[in-house]
Amino acid sequence: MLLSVSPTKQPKELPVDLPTEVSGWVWDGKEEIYNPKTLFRYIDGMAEVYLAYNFRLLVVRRYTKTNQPSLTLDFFDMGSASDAYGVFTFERDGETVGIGQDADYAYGMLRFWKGRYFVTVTAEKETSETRKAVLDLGKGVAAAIREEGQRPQVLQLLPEKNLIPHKVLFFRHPTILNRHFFLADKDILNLSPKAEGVLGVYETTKGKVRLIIVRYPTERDARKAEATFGKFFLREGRAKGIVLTEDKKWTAARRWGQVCAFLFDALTQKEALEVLKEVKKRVDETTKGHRTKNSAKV
Amino acid sequence: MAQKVLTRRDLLKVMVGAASLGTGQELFGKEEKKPARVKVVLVRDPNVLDRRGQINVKVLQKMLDEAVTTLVGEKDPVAAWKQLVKPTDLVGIKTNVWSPLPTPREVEDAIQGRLRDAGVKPERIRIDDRGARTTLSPCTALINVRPLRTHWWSGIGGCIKNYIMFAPRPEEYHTDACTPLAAVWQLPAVKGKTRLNILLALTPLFHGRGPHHYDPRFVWSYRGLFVSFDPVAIDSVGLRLIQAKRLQFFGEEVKLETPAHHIIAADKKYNLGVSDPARIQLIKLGWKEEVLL
Repeated sequence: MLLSVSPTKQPKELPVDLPTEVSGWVWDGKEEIYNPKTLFRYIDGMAEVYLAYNFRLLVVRRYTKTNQPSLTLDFFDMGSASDAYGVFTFERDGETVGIGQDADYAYGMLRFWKGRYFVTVTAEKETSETRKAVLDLGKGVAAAIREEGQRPQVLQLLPEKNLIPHKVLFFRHPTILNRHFFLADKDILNLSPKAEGVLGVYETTKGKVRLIIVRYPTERDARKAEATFGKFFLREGRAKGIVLTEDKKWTAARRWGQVCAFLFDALTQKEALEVLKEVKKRVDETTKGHRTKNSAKV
Repeated sequence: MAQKVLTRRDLLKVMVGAASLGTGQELFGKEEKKPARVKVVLVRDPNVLDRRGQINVKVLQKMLDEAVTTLVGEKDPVAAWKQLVKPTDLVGIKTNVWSPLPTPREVEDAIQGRLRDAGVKPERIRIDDRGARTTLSPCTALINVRPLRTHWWSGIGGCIKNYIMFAPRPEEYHTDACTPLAAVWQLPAVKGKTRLNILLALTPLFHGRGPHHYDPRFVWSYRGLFVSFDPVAIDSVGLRLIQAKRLQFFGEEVKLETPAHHIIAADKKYNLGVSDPARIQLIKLGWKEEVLL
């Protein structure tokens, strides 16, 4: 599936004042800037991931220190906090560190998001000195981003019981979803750059259950998703919205206005319907404004 | 939406029924006639890298010579290279400059040295990666060389994928997990020109991470290289090596981020070569420790 790209005007100045020196590592004064059309020149193979999250601009800076491995700062303007958060959830790894709004660090690479920005800092080689420098540079960049961003509201619809927090994935594009949970080789969920999708994985004593919730831009979009999912996935269970699949587990789907929920791998019909009932409760509460906007932190 | 949609349920059906999509026949249709067996040569030497990971050029040259003479069926390396290229050829070496794991300069030098030995004048040897569409298109013979690694979008980066820079818009070949990659080999700049494929496995990357899909934890010193006339067969063997290493390292089967469908498609759909391991003769030379194949 080819992702569409749109040309982006290059800003004259970054709205963020990035650090020029940290722990003795000094910015070499050069800056590479990539937009959706040129991102492929810098990232071989994974540019599609960023494009699938509405990527706007990437600024690359390098920091050097005599006789030390260099550091590379990749500063992504994703256009919205939801997309910055989404890119972060795409590939969680390593130890959690308190930088930005969510961050992890592993083997010389720091990843974090804050506001509409997703940031990675990578050391050419990990040493005790570079580890400290990577984290310090990350802290400096995070401090330079003044405003925090709001997590996608669709996260509030995920039931919390048995949810594995670090496996929550925010997505807008089937390529991203399929990377974590293959659903179909075509877009049967009617996704789009304005759709908000979340995949939650639930650990139970009898196995893993997966829940996809999508908030569509319009109710019409949601209806279309309900129809295509029914036709291509539920098939014989389309009328009832639930089916026993080939591995003897249950898949169920429901729609409430602009929101669709799809549950996979439930061991019993009852389990599947109970989870969806909980989602509906949350949809209703959100509609009535009972849940605070940024309550879900996963 | 097109009526033909492959869903998770279809895959479950296959798994539950213990059927196999392994040959790719069901996915890509009727196969054209190909040679019964194709040859891939692997050569390894523990001394090709020193303790710091630096390449020993003498050992590397010996490995390359052993591999090429075995593949061509000549005892003498220069005689073997003379079968690959003629002095009148304009030879392009399609290298790979991906910064975390590029084709090493020592390998490029070794190839250029043997091309000169075979009678190709230095001014008739070109080497490029990103500018290949411009600089290497006029070439009459191509040597395709790159390191083996996992690739987020195509499963693995191997010899088939290495020609993507010949395409006017490389991103157009990224559709459907890079399944159409072999179509690049039909472009006039490329078609019928490849004299040798070299897939480097000196320090392959078997798992990736981050924006550039690179993590030094998942690079290992395999100290080998593959050669073949068949880009599909060499990538098929490379894929098996990556899968074997992942199984060894993780202790369980950890699937690639993207299945390397493009290798089967290169065989079954584009008829570029042979992907079926049963039809690949893998000749293993040199160091056997943890050969994994």
